[in-house]
Amino acid sequence: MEYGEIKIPKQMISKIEARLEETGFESVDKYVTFVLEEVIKEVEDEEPEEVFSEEDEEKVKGRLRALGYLD
Amino acid sequence: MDKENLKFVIVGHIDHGKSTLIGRLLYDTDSLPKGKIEEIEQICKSLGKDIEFGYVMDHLEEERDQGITIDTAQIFFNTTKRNYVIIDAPGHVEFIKNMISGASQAEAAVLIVDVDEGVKEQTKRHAYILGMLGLDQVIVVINKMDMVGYERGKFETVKKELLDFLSGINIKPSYIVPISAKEGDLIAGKNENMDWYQGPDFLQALDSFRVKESAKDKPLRFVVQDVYNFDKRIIAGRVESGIIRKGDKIKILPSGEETTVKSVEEFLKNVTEAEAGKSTGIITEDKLFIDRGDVIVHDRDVPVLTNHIRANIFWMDNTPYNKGDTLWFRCATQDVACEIEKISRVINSSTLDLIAEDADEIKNREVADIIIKTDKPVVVENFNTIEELGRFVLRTDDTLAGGIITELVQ
Amino acid sequence: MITVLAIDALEYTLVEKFDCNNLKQKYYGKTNISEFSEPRTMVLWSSFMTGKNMEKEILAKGDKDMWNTKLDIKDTFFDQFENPKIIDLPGFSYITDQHDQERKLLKEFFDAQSEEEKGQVRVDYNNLAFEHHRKIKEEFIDVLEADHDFILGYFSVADVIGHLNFGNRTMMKMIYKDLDEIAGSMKNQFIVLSDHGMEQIGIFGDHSNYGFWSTDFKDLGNPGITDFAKIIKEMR
Repeated sequence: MEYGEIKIPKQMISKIEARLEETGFESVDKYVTFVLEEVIKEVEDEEPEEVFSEEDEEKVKGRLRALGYLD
Repeated sequence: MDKENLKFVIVGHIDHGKSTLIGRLLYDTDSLPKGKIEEIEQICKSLGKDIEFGYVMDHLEEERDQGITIDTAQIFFNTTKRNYVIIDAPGHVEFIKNMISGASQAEAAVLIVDVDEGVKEQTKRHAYILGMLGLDQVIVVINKMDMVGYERGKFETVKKELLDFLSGINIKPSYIVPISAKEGDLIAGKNENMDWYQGPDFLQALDSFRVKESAKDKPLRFVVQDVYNFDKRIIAGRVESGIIRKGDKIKILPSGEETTVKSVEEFLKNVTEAEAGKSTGIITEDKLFIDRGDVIVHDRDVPVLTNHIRANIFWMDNTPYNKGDTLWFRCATQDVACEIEKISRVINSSTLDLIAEDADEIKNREVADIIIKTDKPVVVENFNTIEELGRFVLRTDDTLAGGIITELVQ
Repeated sequence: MITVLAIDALEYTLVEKFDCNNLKQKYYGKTNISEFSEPRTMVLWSSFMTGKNMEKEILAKGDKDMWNTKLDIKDTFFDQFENPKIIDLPGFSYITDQHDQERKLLKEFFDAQSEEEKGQVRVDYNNLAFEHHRKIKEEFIDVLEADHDFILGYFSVADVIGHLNFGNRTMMKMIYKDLDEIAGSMKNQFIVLSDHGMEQIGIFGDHSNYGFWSTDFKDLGNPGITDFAKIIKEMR
């Protein structure tokens, strides 16, 4: 796996370091990566996809009725 | 057992069959996402047909048009021996930028040529870029043999043309293989049509390549980031290559002073060594003057200090560079003033055309083969030897260019 | 022998995009169906056969009975031929059982409550359409060997599959390539004609407001679907 570097306030790093022992993470890197992964998962799970396909379905239903396929 | 990874790039004229070759590699090594193959199989069955590579290729091209699958920066496939990664990119310029600024490193390259078309301008330019990257593991594939009846004569003609050109730019390919990506000949074990060819097929050639030496097996290069004075004096830095251990005899560069590693310090842990890739701290026996940007090495393995560097760069700023202007050269944590003393060649990164030789300026998105003169000597390496010290940026306030070092000029 | 490949919903832009060179023949283009209020399959093919705008007449039957339309051969241009063979053409020799089944599953799809259910219905719907396509292909190939002076093969697969799967590029591409293969196997002169094309709504497909035509003997420009009765008459 390839890694990049990001910057976060030193204050935050200290806070995380203080928490490390009780959380069981081996390093600040690992802690932060985990937290971010969880957040992104949540955001992605919202699935705007669903909304669009429902809209599409309604639209198509309407069209198919107009064309005589559905009544 | 963990398989090795090998990263390689495929370059060549856009119509010479690169995407078909990629599709074929994925198909023949069964590396396509299962769902895709199943879907295509289903539709084939429904239409009353047998599944063919052509359909898979159509599908991959469709996805590419829609910006999926092949349009990513890395493509994976596996043989029994290795896991392969094809470093690729949607836009040509992105690819060049990544390669030249060292963002992605290939360990091997494949140059693809259409047997009917022969060596074209684009082929030559691509080959030239390979030369600039200093890659010494190159396979040439002469493709579309099916279109010329698998004739040996045609293959030999193109082979000669190519070898003549390549020797002129100092590239010696390890293999030259005749293939048909479309029909699958000489890619992964199938050779029904070219029994006059006795060498390895494409995957066999790839399998024979060396994987990059692991960074920890290379000479020690510990790059100093900070020096902390708490109750102890800790030198914090990153092990870019090699391993640093308690008791090691070390040398600080550029000053040349010598001492021994008293201990290796890692947050919350009790360690006696740190290997390549680790950020760590050390304490030395002697209290020497050590500064950010210094490089610590083993006294038995001292790199050359130089202030003349030959490199290839990708200029990323709107403001052009004029020969002689002062810049900052940053490599690992070394930060020194420098200027570009010579601009040997300037290349257009999208067409790979030669723009100028012995030029006076470099413009946005151009690639240049240059000589840098630094104010102070620095510890750097050829990118293909120790990549972590072979990659650098040039900047003022912003990063203006990324590059890789090709030669340490004496 | 005059042959017509009547391909329902064959979309001009996809014929181009997928390089269907056999379907394109020498001359190809779009048909003009603007005289119709909506691109309805039954209306369009009926108008094709008779050479006149049949919209009012067909619509008067209502949505259900419209699909059972069966025009008298005397009212169509087929009448001028001695031994015509028309396979599955809507409004003439339409295989109503098959297509009724398709519409039934279509309704089931939209009525289904869960994604899972929808998925299953779609699979059944697609299988039904593909199976019919295989049968039609076979029949068509047989008929081509026989002695007819006019043959029309009607292929509904692009329309039926397209309604629920137009967004699935892989599937559509394979269907178009298959149709292109059929066109490629034609030994005698033929015309390709579609009633309308298709446009994308997400994963689904709607009818577009133009059809597709191609010939190897004449550039027809932008013909109306009702012009073909005359065009084919003149070919004799």
